[in-house]
Amino acid sequence: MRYISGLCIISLVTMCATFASAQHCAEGLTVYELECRYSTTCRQTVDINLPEGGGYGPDNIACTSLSCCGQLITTCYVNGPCQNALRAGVTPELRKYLSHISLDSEFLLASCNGHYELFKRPSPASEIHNLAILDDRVLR
Amino acid sequence: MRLAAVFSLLLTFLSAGYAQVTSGAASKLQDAPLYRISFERREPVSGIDAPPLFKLPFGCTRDGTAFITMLPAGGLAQGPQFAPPPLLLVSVSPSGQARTFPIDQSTEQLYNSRELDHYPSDSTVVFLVEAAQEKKLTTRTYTSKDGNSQQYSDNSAERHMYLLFFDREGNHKRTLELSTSFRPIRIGIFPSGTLLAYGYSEQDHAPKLAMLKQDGTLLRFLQPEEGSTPNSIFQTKDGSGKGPAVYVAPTEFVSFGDSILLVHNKSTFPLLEVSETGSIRVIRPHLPQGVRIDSLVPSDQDLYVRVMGSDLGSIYEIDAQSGRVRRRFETGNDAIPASIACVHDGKFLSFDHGEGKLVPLVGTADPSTKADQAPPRAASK
Repeated sequence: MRYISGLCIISLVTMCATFASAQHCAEGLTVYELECRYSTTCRQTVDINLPEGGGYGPDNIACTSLSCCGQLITTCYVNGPCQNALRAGVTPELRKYLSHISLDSEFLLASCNGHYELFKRPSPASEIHNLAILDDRVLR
Repeated sequence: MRLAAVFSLLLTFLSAGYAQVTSGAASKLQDAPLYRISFERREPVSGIDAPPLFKLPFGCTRDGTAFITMLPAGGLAQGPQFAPPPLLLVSVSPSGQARTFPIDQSTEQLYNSRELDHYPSDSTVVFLVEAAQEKKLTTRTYTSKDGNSQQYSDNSAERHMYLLFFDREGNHKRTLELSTSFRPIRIGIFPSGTLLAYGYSEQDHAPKLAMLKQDGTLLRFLQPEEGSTPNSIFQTKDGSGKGPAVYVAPTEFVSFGDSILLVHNKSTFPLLEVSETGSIRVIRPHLPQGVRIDSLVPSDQDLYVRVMGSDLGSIYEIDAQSGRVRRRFETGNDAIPASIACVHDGKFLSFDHGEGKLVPLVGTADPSTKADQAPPRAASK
């Protein structure tokens, strides 16, 4: 259980691993599912993308914030030529779906370098590498 | 005591023999020359955008047309359950002409169609789908993550299995309802129109292989050689011990001349070549211990397998008669073996994406100059 600015993040579920492996793009983003609660009035789940390793990484990773029970939480995306394929095309819902069905199916995923790569099944991660970037104060 | 010593000696003997076989397979494997595939880009395919996702495997027909299952861009319908994403089969001819096979738009008499499998042949593309024949909307209630009660509509009509037939231009020709005594998961079609279905008994999950008449009714069951198929089509958990407890083991049908190959992917089960007469020939590729067939690469002539667990090449050309590995291949230009759609006329066809377009790649195999003399060993993965 982790408290940030009065927000209680009760669940930190990992669901997806690398979706951009790449030589010309970022090292990749990891998708996390956060469940936020504030008092008894709000309970919400959001998916966020964070650079692998916890840092902001290469220049073509851009970050913004989204609200989770009123708390701003950092989420990042690949901001480059492959943005359309990775960000607009493969939605969090689709990645979540793939993570459920990929045991008996294989998928090729458009990567940043113009190739197709095998979709890797998510492996549960034990923690977000750098929880500090979840705190919206770093964006203020 | 003496018995234990004899048993120990026997075990040692058996182990040595097994090691010799394994080492022998690896040694023979290394005798197969290694080739490197270099790709050249062709003009982008016109008429379709590059999808962010393909669902494997690729299909291929003898004229070199590749069949790609796309997952169109966009999200999924929100709701309490994950709806399967719509799949769209697209064919790309050697000249770069694309055709689509939209099963949902072509079958107005069916609702909630879900593709289970498809099989392209030289004249026909057949789909195995699960669908409802009517629309019976039922309102259901569920508790969303925020704790509130939500409602959604669902088609509660009973679902059945159907075969949809298309011509190669992408035109829907006919629909058949299937009423097999087992649950089919794979469908294939022979040149005569006779069908081949693979699935499992819903009672004991035992695999079932059957030939079906052109009208979809049972012609006869086929009995593969003992031990050439798993006892159950279901697998429990993946290698890491995580994931769903039970899932259907991956299998595929691949066209091989006028026959159809049944492949149990990622396993050590042999390949089964089923002819149009219903005879089954078992093909046992000579692979080192630990190396398994990941999938087949469709080809107009020879037998190509994508392997896993090997560092002695990632694609093997197999002699379909003896099972011997003739040639080994590795891919260049950052292409991965899984992205090779088929081998046609000795060329390896693959795809890249660029500027939103699907870009065909044609690969040529040349003898590798890489020092390929690593000591033979059973590869690990």
